[in-house]
Parts: sequence; C-alpha cells; structure tokens
Amino acid sequence: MTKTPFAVVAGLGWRRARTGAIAWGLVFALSVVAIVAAYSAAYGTPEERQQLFRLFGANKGISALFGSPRGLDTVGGFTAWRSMGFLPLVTAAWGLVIATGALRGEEDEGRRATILAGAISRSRSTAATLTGLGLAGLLLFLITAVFTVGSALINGGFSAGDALFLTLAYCAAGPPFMALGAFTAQIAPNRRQASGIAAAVLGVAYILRIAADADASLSWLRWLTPIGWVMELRPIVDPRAWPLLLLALWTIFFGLLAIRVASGRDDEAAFLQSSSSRKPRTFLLASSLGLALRERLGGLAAWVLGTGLSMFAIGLLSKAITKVATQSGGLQKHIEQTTSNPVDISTPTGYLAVMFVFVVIVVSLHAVGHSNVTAEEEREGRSATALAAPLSRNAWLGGRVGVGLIGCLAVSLAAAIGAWLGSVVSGAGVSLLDMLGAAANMLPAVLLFLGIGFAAFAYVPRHASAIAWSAIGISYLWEQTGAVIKAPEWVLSFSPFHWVKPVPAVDPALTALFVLGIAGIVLLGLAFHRFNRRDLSSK
Amino acid sequence: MTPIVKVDQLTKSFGNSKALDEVTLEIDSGEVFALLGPNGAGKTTLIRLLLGLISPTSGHAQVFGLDSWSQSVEIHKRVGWVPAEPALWPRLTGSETLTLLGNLHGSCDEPYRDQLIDRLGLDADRKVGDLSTGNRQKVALIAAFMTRPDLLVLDEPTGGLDPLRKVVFRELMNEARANGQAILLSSHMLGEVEGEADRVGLLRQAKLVRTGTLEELRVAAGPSAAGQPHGDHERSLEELFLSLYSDND
Ligand SMILES: Nc1ncnc2c1ncn2[C@@H]1O[C@H](COP(=O)(O)OP(=O)(O)O)[C@@H](O)[C@H]1O
Ligand SMILES: [Mg+2]
Repeated sequence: MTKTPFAVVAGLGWRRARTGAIAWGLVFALSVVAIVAAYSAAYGTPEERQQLFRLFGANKGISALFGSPRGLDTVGGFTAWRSMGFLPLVTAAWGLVIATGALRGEEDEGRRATILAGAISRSRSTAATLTGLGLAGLLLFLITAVFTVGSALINGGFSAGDALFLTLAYCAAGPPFMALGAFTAQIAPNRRQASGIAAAVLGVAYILRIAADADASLSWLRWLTPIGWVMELRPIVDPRAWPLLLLALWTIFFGLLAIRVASGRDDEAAFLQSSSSRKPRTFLLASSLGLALRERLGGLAAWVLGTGLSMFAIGLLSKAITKVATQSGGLQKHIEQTTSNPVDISTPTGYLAVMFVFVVIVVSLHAVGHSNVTAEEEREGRSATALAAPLSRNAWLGGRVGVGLIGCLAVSLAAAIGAWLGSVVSGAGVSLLDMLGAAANMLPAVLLFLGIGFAAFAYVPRHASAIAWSAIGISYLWEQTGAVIKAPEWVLSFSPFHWVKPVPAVDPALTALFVLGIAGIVLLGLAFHRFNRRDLSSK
Repeated sequence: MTPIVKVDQLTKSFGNSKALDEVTLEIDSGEVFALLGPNGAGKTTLIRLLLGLISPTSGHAQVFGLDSWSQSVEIHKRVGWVPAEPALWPRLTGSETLTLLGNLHGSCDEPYRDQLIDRLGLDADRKVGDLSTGNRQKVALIAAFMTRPDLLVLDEPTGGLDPLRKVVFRELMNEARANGQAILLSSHMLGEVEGEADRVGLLRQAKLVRTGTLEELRVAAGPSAAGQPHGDHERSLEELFLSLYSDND
C-alpha cells in the first residue's frame, strides 16, 4: 500500500514528537500518582484536611502561584489543585516547542523545501505536520489518563470520570499553544524566535493567571488567555466543560491561520524578518571558548533569570508555607512522601532545602543542554570548521565543557541568591551561606549529568541527546516512583538525585557526593580521551 | 625538494565500504594539483584525512612532513580549507565570521581580506544564516585565502559562484600560485580545473586511477582520445575524462 503524501508528512511529525510525548506522558502520570498517594497518606483525618484547606486557602501568595484552592479537603480537590497549578504550563510549553520545532526548525534545516518539492502543497504539508503532532499529543493524553484514572480507582476519593476530566483539563493547554506555535513558526524568521514569541505569550498568560488568583477584583483576567480558560474548567471540584469551547476556538483559529499563512509564503521567508545586516560586534570572538560562551549567552541569561526568579518567588512564600507546616502535621508528612527524605520543614530554611532537591533537576537539564548543543555543533559541521584552524581537540572541547561548567554554576548560584533574596524580602531570615550550601550540594550530581552528556557526545555523537535526556528522565522517574512506592534504600540509591539531600535541613551525603563528583570527572575525562581519537562526523 | 603533501597507501573505510583505497600521491610545494572524480569517488574523504578531521584506517598521510592525524594542529597553521558545504555560525555576520576565523587561525592579512571582500562582492554585514549558498562559499573562500597559507585545500569551491565570481576566483588562484602557495583543488568537472592545474589525479570508486599532467593523461588515455586533431583540444579532453570514468576502463 502506498501512502499519500499527507500521510507521509503527518508520519514525519508523529515520529518527531512521539518519544517526547511518551516521556512527558509518564512524567505527568507519575506526578499525579505521587500527589494522590502523598495526600491520602499525609492527611488521613477530615480535621487535618479541613485545616490544610483553611491554611492554604487563606494565603494569597500560595493561591497566586498555584491557582486559587478549591475543595482541598478531598483527595480529588487537592489533586486537581496541585496538578492544575503546574501541569498546564508544561503541556503548553511542550505544544509550542514541538510545533515550532517541527515546522520552523525543519525549515531552518532546509527540509521544508525538500518536502514541498514532493507532491504536497504548502498548506496541506502544514496541516499534515499538525495532524502528526496532534496524534502525539493524544498519545501523551492517553498515557497520563491511564495512570490518573488508575490512581483514582486504586486510592478512591474521586471517580474515574473525574480523573479523566482532570487529565483532559491539564492536557487542554497543549493544543492552543501547539496551534499558536504553528502560527509563530510561519511569521518568525527562525525556530528560536518562533518559540520565543509563543513562549512570551505563555509567560504573559501565566502572569495574568497569577494576577487573577492574587486579587479577587482581578479575577476577570482569567478570561483573557487559554491558561485562564484551562483553570476555569475547574476539574473534579466544580467541573465545567464549556470553557473547552473557547480553547477549541483558539486552537482552530490559530491552526487555520498558520495553514493560511503557510500557503501564501515562500520557503524560509518570514513577516517578522529580523534585520539581517549589522555592524560587526566582535566581542568574544577571540577564541573558541569565547565563541562557545557568546553562542550560549542568551540562553544562559534566560536560565539564570528563570531559575533565579522562580526561587525568589519560592523564597517569598517560604515563611507562609512554613507557618502552614507548623500548624498542620500533614504538610510535613506530605513532603516526606514526595522526596523520600525525612526533613523538618517547620523553618523557612528547611522548606527551601527541600525545594533545592527539585532545583537540581533543573540545573541537570541545563547541563545536558550544553552537551546537546555541542553535539549539534558537530552534526552541522561547524566543529570541523573550527577544528581546521590550529586548535587542538582538547582546546575546542575544553571550551565547550568550560562554558557548561560556568553555566551550571551560574544557574545554581542564581537559585541560591534568588531564594535568599525572596526570604529576605518576606523576613523569613534565611542565611545566604545556607542557600549557597544547598546550591553546592547539587553540584556533584550536576557534574555527573554533564559528564554523561559529554561522554555520550564523544562516544555516540548521533544519540548523544537521547542518552543524556534519558539519563535525567530515568533518574527522576526512579526517585519519584521509589518515593511513592516506598522502595528500599538500595533501590533508591541508583538514582543520582537520591543523593542530593535537602541540605542544610539535613547533612549532605558526603561520601555519595564524592562518588558522584568523581564519576562525573571520570566521564568528562573519557569524553576528552575519546574525542581526541575519533573521526569528526560529517554533515 | 620535499613534497608538501605525501600520501602513502592511504585507506579509509566506513564500516564495510572503502571510501579511499590504498591511495599514494605526492604534491610539490607551489604546485596546483587537481583531484578529479565523480560524486562519491572519495575526494572529500581524502581532504578530510589530510586535515586530520578523520583518521586513516591504514597507510599514512603527511603534510609539510608532519603526520596529518597526530600533528594536525601544526599543519593547520599553514593550511586554508574551503569545504564543499561551508558550515558556519548562522548568527554571526560575514565580517564577524572572518574576524573569528582569523583569530582562531592566529594570523590574517587584513588589507588583503578587505580587498577579497570587495573583489568577491560579499555583503559582509549580513548574517551568515541569511546568505545564499554561493555567498556562504565566498565567506569560506575569503577565510581560506586571507591567511595566505602555504597550502590551500579547496573542495569543489566554485559550486555556488556565479560566472563573474568564478573569474575572480581564477585570478585569486593565479595570484596564490604566483606567491608560491600550493593548491589542492577537487572537482567533478574537468572544465573547472583545465588551464589551472599543473597535475591532476583521477579518483574513481575510492581508487586513484591516474595521475599526471593533462598532457600525460591524454597520451595514456589511448589512441582514440590522443588521435583527436589538435584544434579540437576541448572535446578531446572531455572524451578523455569520460573514458576514464567509464566502467570498461
Ligand atoms: N562519514 C561517513 N560515513 C560513511 N560513509 C561515508 C562517510 N563519508 C564518506 N562516506 C562515503 O565514502 C564515499 C566517498 O565519499 P566522498 O569522499 O564524500 O566523495 P566525493 O567527495 O568524491 O564526492 C561515498 O560513498 C560516501 O558515501
Ligand atoms: Mg565531496
């Protein structure tokens, strides 16, 4: 059976998105399962649940960050509140990244022209790609739905139907931002700017959502954006289906607009043509290290700012959350459930220490970003251009690893300083040294993932990204699943993240950190060893 | 005189297939040597071996008497390379790219660079990512020539250039030759190297099947080609070239 061109192009989109869809589906599934399990175990009595509701409901900062709490005295209500607080942002981000990548990214690589040279029109090709991506989104939905429904059935507290609607609600932010990404992919000059514009819309939508939940007089702001509409679905507690209509309209509008613009546009042309000419800017062009730094500077600034601001917000809330913890033993139990580490969160320092256990995942993702960019530099043939100059392989790779280390240090430092500043502003009285200690405690694990990323680049350049992402994904899932099912210590110990203890609330696992750090250094050494001896791959 | 490039029984395999099979070759300093062969013959593989970007499966290659794999950093100080598909940084402008590559190389004849930008008609203030293939090729050409290297390695360098710029490119080659710079030029078109090359090497299916001056090759190609009347010079060369390509060779 021969496939139609539409099916072929849709298949390309599907293949591009499916692995990520499965991975994110599992991450979502596990997050929800963990929330359900932790709540059921931590807040056993109605009194405890009522108290939690009162304490969280009364706190403006917490409502603003995670959305206004509803029905926290039930498993379903709590699960809905916690998962709706962050999962829609992740689905939205996934949708926009995958759409701009599959549409504008492919075009940047010159593959759109190849496809359009075949028997398919511009508009049909765009529609086909979106169909493939949509199917991958459906896969993500199905995977996480199975787990969410499953955990509702096993734990009780909310029905399978409620669970299904909850899954629909937090996945519902995906399609509108996928469609928006498809549109910005048509008007922006390259993938970076296409995803940048769509991400800016998401950022504004999130900020409007925060404002709407921070002050009742601003709650109308929720009606302005897809993120607000998703919140208005109010799964489980007060479910309403009709905001889905708004989400569908937005999706159809931007989807059709993208297809329309695509049909009337030349290959690699854009409405928002960035001015391509400029006077030379020669800063950081003196060496290969300088170039590596210059190429990563914009991205690094975004990571530093994003991490710093997030930790600032968490620092701001630390005092309020601690107050809840001291009045409700449940929250304490809850934290112990989700981190596999017993820790006292009745002080702001303790609470922030727990947060760093999650920051390490963020910084590890950043680390792997550096090795992936290095692999891309080789795939695109630019490493050969640089290495045809009198520049040793050690010097070239050293520059890349060096920039990776600088980046990881900068993001970690931003997390520490952000958390400290936030706590200072809210008068929580956390010491800067404690926060720096918490940041330093993450570094051996980060070094390990940097080592895994660069070793993968040196040994198997074609699969470097997949290996590095999987290493982080599996470690995270391992630690989270282990915490939920109360796996024995030796099982947990396989995940590097397990050894990042909530410092300074508890003592660091010094021996383990030492081993992680050494393993990271050995892997980096192997990366240099191998890179000196292997062929550069050609384009 | 010691040869500037000395290749001895050089073999490169990718998996089970040989991209280069026991190639032996010498290029003298100041010489213009053309590597001719159809697509996939192994021209780029030979060039990447000479630059130490890939390592030989067996055999040796030396450039300036230095081992092309273990001493490539030393070699690169005196080599300028134009790849078949220049891979550059899309967010740098042409001018920034040249500054970077000059800095990485360690030396650059700046007045000559500016002259090259002018003669090739490159808009150096445009971002490389927005340039056409031909214009990207100009950036790579300028980068290779501006350091005035002892050896220029040009891998199908005129693919994207328009006829007018091809004339400029020939002038540049002639100037380099006059300066005593050696040139290794690869091409799949005979016409491209005619009148430029002192000697040519014919690569076919990973093997170097002939080397010599075009005159020598004409004789070697046998009576049918050599017997052409002298006035039909152009056609006889083309025939010779095709006869060396054909499978019954
Ligand atoms: N990195 C590589 N991996 C596998 N095969 C390769 C690689 N590089 C080149 N080849 C193969 O080696 C042969 C010679 O290629 P190449 O040297 O690029 O030829 P040319 O430059 O003469 O067109 C081709 O068959 C090509 O497919
Ligand atoms: Mg080639």
